[in-house]
Amino acid sequence: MFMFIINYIAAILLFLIGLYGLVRARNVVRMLLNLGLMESATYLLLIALGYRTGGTAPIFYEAPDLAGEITAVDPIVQALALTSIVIGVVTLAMALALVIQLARHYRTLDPHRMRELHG
Amino acid sequence: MDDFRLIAPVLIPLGTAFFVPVVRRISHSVRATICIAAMLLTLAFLLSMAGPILDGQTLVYWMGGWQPRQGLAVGISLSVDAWGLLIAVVVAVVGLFSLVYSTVYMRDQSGRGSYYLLTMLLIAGLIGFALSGDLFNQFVWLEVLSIAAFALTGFHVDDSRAIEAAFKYLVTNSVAAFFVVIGLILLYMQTGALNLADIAAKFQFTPAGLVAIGLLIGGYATKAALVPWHFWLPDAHAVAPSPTSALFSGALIKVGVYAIGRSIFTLIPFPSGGVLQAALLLLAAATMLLGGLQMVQQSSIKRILAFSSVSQMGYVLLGLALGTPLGVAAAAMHLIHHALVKSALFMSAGMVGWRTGIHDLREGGDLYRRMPFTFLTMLLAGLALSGMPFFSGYISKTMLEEAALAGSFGWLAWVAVLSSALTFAGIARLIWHVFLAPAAASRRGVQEAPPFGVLPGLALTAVALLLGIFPQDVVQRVAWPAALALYQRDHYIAQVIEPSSLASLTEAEIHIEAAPDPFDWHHWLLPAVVLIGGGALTYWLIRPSAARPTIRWLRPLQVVAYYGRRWHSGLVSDYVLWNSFGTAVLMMAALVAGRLGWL
Repeated sequence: MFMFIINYIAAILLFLIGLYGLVRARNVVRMLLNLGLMESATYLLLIALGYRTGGTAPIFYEAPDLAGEITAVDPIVQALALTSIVIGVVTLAMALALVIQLARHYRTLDPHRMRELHG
Repeated sequence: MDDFRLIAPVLIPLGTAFFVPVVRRISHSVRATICIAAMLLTLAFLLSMAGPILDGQTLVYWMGGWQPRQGLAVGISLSVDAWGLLIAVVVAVVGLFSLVYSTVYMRDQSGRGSYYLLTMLLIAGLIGFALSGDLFNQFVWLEVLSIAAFALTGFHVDDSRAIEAAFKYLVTNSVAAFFVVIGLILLYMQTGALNLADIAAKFQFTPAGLVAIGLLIGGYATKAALVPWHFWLPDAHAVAPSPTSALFSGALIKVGVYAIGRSIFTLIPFPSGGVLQAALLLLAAATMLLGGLQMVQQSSIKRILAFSSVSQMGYVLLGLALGTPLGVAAAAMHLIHHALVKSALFMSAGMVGWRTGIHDLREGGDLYRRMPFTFLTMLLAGLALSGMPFFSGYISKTMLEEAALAGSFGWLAWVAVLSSALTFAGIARLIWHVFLAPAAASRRGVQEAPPFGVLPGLALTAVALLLGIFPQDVVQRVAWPAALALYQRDHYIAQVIEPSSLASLTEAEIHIEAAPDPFDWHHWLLPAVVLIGGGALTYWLIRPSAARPTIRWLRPLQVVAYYGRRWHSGLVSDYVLWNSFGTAVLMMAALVAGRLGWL
């Protein structure tokens, strides 16, 4: 039971650490790393959710006998995690492109000095 | 053919998005024409579905033919009901007009190829989101449209503020996307389903389910720009190219409200009279007031309009959170109204900037003779926005106030009136400073914008005027079916999952009320209050600050306004913190209320 629930605890902790780091960071690249940490928390949550004790990989060549002889982990959450990873990579690429432009304009990576828009 | 009709509105903009850069060598106008033709085709496909859907049907298309078996949906569906179709049509119309406007605005810009790609991608994402019937699929569309929106915000790469706004937009919305993902994971954990109807059928008020609903509302509230999730909006709207601002205000934030409506009406039976409803109503009131107060303090033209969008989203949320059929119909009507009018305002403001380089109130003045049609558009759209009779805003606001007074939330009607007065003052101040006030600089040589720069805005305003004079058909045939689609939850579930069980479904008859008559002057009390209060406030605002008389009872409002302005600190970490705080509060409210039975 403990081994099962530790995944969820780790996911929540990872998310909160990421959020703390994101709020406290004084460097935009570090902010993105923390965003990545929060993202990993969601992957962990997804994969932990699909876990079945003693389950195998859900690869079948023909429809399995559902009488309960085979236990497989949930394939849907794995597909969701893969999709999320792809989306995360795209967002990260976009963010890094923006960071390059930010550095070009402001000559710094400190978000506290990027406050032209306020009020 | 029927299936193709459902999927075409997503496929056409998506296909066009990637086709446009291929024809890079052809001239700008050819590229724009291709996009406009694609949008017309999309709109035609959407409207061809309108007949059966407005009669209460939900059209469903299962990707790859993965039909649900024994009430279990594994496939991904497009489920189109009146609520989704309404949003999709609004997106398509605003997108079409914004593209026509782009032919002028983008004429001399570099990087036009990627502009059309991104705009079409944004439109495809918005329509895909509105038509999709699957929670995870919706999330994917959300990311598609977000990526396009980030890039469009930072389109003027040489403007440091544009890049700054795009970065803030990206960070806050990524965090919001995580909230949505965690919400949908929790729902999957509880119900084992991802299809909206399937989740709705199996939803139970367990802690996990309640937290999930709180997270989803919090995540979508960032898209819908509700206070305190709204910080990205004024930044992004103000620096994006004007056709993009029109698309953001007219279409993008509507999709957030659409998703909130889906979350609180379709996924769960509406929690009437509980803590969750109270929280949503308070959010609506805060959004209306803060948006209005911020609006009268700004000096950048597009920032004024952006904050007005925030306050108008408060009205839409108010309609939804009232939870009555009339309230939801009013929300749908207000959504249509705001999409028309705010796009027109952004387009006019864009033309002023494009012709004269004026982006700030302090530089403006004395333009009404030089740009008469732009002035006219802005004047009419401004009157419509503040809810004057014979405009669409009067219809939707009267419906909203009736809905609020019919429940036990009469005070919200007065908050709405106060916010309308602030809106009036904000727009009147803008028009005064930009068009009417004496200017320091000479206006010789300033010309009216070209036809395609003026016509889209004028046409949208004309539609708003027509809607205000002849509201019955649209209110009864469009807004009410959209409200009923949300309200009749069992109907939606049965049509998507088990169409055979539909015949046995008994439902309460909901009485469709007529729209308020614009010529019936008995309802003119509230617009009159708005006009007098807003007018007085405008007079106070447009005088130089030293010449302003001190009014003691205005003092509390001034204090709130001052701290409201300080609150927008410009620090992205603050914004993320407020986003998370708001979501956490919603989550806890839902959780605690569920435990104590106060839902």
